[in-house]
Amino acid sequence: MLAHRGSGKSTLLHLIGGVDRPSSGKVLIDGKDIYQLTDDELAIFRRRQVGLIYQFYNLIPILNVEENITLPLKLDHREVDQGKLNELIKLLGLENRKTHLPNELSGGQQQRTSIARSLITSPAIILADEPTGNLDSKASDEIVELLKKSNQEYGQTILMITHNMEIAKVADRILKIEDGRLV
Amino acid sequence: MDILKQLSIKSLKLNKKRTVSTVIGIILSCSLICAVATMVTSFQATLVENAINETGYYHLKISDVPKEDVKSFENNKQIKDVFTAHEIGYGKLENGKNENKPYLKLYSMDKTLFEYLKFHLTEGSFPTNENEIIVSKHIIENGGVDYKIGDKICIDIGSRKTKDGEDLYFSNSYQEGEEELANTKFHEFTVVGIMERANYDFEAYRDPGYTIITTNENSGKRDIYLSLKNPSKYKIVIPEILGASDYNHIQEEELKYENFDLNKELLRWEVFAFSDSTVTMLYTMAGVVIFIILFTSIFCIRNSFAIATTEKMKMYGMLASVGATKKQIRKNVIFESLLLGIVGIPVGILSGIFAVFVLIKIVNQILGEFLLSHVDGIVVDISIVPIILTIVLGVITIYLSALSSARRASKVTPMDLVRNSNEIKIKGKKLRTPKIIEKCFKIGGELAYKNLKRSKKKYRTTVISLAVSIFIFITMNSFLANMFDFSSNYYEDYDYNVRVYCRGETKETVDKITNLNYIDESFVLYENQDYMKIKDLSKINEIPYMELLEDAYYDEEMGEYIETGEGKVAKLQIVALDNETFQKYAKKIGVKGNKIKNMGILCDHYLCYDNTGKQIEMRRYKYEVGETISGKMGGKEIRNSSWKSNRY
Repeated sequence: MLAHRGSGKSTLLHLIGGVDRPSSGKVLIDGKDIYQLTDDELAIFRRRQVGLIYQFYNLIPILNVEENITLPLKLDHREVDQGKLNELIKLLGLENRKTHLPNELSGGQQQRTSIARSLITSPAIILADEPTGNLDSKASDEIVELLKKSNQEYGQTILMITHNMEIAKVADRILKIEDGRLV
Repeated sequence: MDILKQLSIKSLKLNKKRTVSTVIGIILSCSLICAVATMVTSFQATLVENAINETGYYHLKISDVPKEDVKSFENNKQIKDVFTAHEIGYGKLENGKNENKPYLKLYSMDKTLFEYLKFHLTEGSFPTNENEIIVSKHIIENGGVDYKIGDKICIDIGSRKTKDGEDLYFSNSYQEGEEELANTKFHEFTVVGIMERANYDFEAYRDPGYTIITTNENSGKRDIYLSLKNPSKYKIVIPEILGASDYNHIQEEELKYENFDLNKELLRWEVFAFSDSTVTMLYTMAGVVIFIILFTSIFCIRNSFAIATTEKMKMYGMLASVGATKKQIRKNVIFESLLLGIVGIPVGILSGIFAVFVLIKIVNQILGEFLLSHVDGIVVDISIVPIILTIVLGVITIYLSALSSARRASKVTPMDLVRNSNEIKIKGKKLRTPKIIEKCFKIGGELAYKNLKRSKKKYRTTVISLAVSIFIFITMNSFLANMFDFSSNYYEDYDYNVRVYCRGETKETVDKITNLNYIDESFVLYENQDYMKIKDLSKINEIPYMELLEDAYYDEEMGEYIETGEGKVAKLQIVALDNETFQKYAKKIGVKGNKIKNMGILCDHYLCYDNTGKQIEMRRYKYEVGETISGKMGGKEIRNSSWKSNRY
């Protein structure tokens, strides 16, 4: 999703992710209006079906990398699939960082951790709000590469917001928003 | 363990300062609650201990029980202990000096009962057979007969009977020339021990015999001492034992055992029987204090949690963004606070108990022996009830304190995190600072005013805290003032050291006494033996325990009272004070001295208990200020005396 600042892209992303409530209209997923759900049901929907990646990573500072990654599963009282966890950690190049706390990691590593966290639940969709906005170009390329890889390896659908044309080119489809409307 | 719980523990460990200060809050609250509750149970334990030392540990004493009934008491599951004593009889005390106590009263009991009745052996040992006895010190001190250990006593023991052959009991005082000992049997004893005077339940003031105790002798009347397994059920168990249908009708019914005594003193304090208002007051007081503590500590701890939650708002937002539900977050905050309770409550209980221990030790140091006559001071009683109470109230306090924080934390949405919004939501409204603040505090005041206005929540807490502190100060203060007022009704304060009765002395003698060296201050109270009799009963309020007199006068020639046949009169005692004291008293009650020349002050204030044990205050008389009281006073010669009254 390519757009300029203030065009409403983040709002749209949050509406899709069940984070913000629309003042009018509906968001239908699998034919169900997700804003008919109660707050708690919506939270459960979010942790099972949606992976969120933010510009500022949003990792819990007092949990280490591995704990941060498995957090959505544990909140859902589900067993952690060790095989999948190791595979993800390997894929994201975090093998040597498993027991580090977020503030011991670089920006790129932190963002990779948050990608791993969104992938661990195998959600229907990953919503990424300018995931590279806070990173230098080398780290940015890495992240984009990883998202691409997860799309190819796990068939993961990713909806990513950016205003960087170079990054947008990697996507299968580009949507443009101007003044709150898709064009 | 749940990931959220792990998270809580981790964050508590990381924010040590905040954790410690919150835990201290919880500790203080719990230790205060525990201390107050332990104080109450200690007071109760002290009163029970006092009662036991005074009367012995038993709930019911039945006299004159047939031998075959003892087994049934022993088999009764409601009864804890059954002890038997035998009242063998009375014998003449040779060379006794007290003419009202001419006998020795022989009892036989075993050592356990001796100890249960709290008899105190000062010398020697307990008898081992029926030929050995313990004598009471009272015989030596009161009766003037000097028994020593090893002395032989030869005595004829029998039962007291009137000249007509009727039985006399220990409650019947000695009637010289009217009674004799019957069915006497010769005994010879060796004194093996000396004990303190038996308590007044066992040997009453008017009991004509000094107690002596032997063992293993089974003749005479059998007394049974029973203690109940569950004393709080005394209203059910005691009628059952006595063969009555109902506790309230025990006095009226035909009973299996007519001669029984409830240990009222013990029951009163052990299970708060007989609706004593002291106990009600003690408990009400403790309840009020605990309520105030709860109220205050909820505010303090709540504040602590609120600050901690604000610090962690971001984390809750992150958790919400990865799908933590409101319920999970709410539960988590509560869990975290209860986790602090796990540390705080036990430490609070221990420190509370410790505080009471120290407090009681200090109080006992200062006035221990003056508190109650049969204990050396307050007993520290650490029972399970205050501990359970503290745990329950502690958990409730923490839960209520954490509730608002939990709600606030659960309301955070991932959006708040993205928007990075703070706690304070500044509304666009324009704020104008009042001129007076600008003038008084300049720019600093203006900033402070705006800050407060814009974040109302913050200063609300501070204002409430202040209000609560002042509220507590005032309530505690007036509460204590009330208590002192109340207790001064119990204990009138006599502010003199020596009182001298001068019946029939001349004024010179009285003056000689009041002018003695070393006397700082003195006053004279003149009292008349006789009453003024008021005929006009419409002027008298009906008050409990009021007695009306038959109108009568004392005839000196005939040496007796003669009724005038004019019906009942109320009495009024007249006392006089020396002039100086009278002026002082008038001033104290707010009457100008010169205004009451040739007038009197009517002491009208009456304080008593009504049938339900509640204290009431009322007036005795219906006289108004300035009214004349007329009545009769004096002996044969009846005269009218008029008094102007001034009410107090």
